[in-house]
Amino acid sequence: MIISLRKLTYEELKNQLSKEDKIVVWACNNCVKFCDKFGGRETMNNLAEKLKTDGYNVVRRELIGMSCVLDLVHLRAIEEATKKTFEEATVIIPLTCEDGYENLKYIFKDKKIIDVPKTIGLGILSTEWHTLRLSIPFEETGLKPPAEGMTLESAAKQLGIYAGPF
Amino acid sequence: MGAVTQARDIKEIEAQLTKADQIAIISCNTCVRFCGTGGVDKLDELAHRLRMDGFSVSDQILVTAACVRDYTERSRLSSGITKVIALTCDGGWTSIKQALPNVEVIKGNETLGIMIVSPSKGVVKLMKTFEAYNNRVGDEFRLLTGEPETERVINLEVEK
Repeated sequence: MIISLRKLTYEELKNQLSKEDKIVVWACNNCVKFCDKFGGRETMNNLAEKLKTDGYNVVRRELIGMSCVLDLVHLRAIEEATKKTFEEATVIIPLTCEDGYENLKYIFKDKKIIDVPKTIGLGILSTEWHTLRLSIPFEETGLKPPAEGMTLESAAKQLGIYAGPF
Repeated sequence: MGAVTQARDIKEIEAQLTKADQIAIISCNTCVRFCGTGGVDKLDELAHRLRMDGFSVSDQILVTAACVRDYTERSRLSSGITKVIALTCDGGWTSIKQALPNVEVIKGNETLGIMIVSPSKGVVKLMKTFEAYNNRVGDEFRLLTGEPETERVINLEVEK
């Protein structure tokens, strides 16, 4: 599975939003759910609630199987159930990997897609750990995981970014 | 989705085996199947080729995703297996090594990077790569066969 971390703190995320924005919180329900709950339904709902509490206009929460499947992203732009909301939205917050982020930029060209994810390599999921561990990092990260894999918290710390939900 | 893979040359794989080995092949039914480098058909194909070349393939195991270690831990190999070929990405290969620490695990595929996929266009696109494949960022492949596309199908620019 793909391992993704979070580039922004919640405060940094808010700095990229305005109270006039119509915000979609968008989350995959696959790899990122297992990245210390960076994505998935619970994280998506919690972020949406947090933003609402802070006075932001969250117009939709969109849970998708995998945002790296371009067709699934495109369907949101054209299907009757979602088309209007996405036409009106101004900002999408992706709780996805970088592939999902790229697909969102491609499909929703007129929206501001917040640059949240940092994808750092491939990892292994075990119910023993209840999460993913990094095993095959992209060389650009400089990370050197041990044989049993690296926790995402440790990877994030070494990279100066964040693991898990906002 | 996951990783983009390409099959290793069969001769390279065979060079890591001996005729005395009892061989198991483990493959996934997700990413590698989309890339034409795994799944049940490729599992059968590789096992058949190895048997034709005189090797002893005892087990063929298809799991949903070998990067989920619970699957590889439960793969229940026959006794006496000496080598496992991971017809997976490097994540699956690592997972099999963790689950089966007493058996040599050989890569059946090379892992290029990560992908986006469009079933309607029938294409997989390489988005972010490991260093050895940096020159192939943006390459596209036919879904399910892995055949390189000669013309751009998804007009999504990827930074090289």
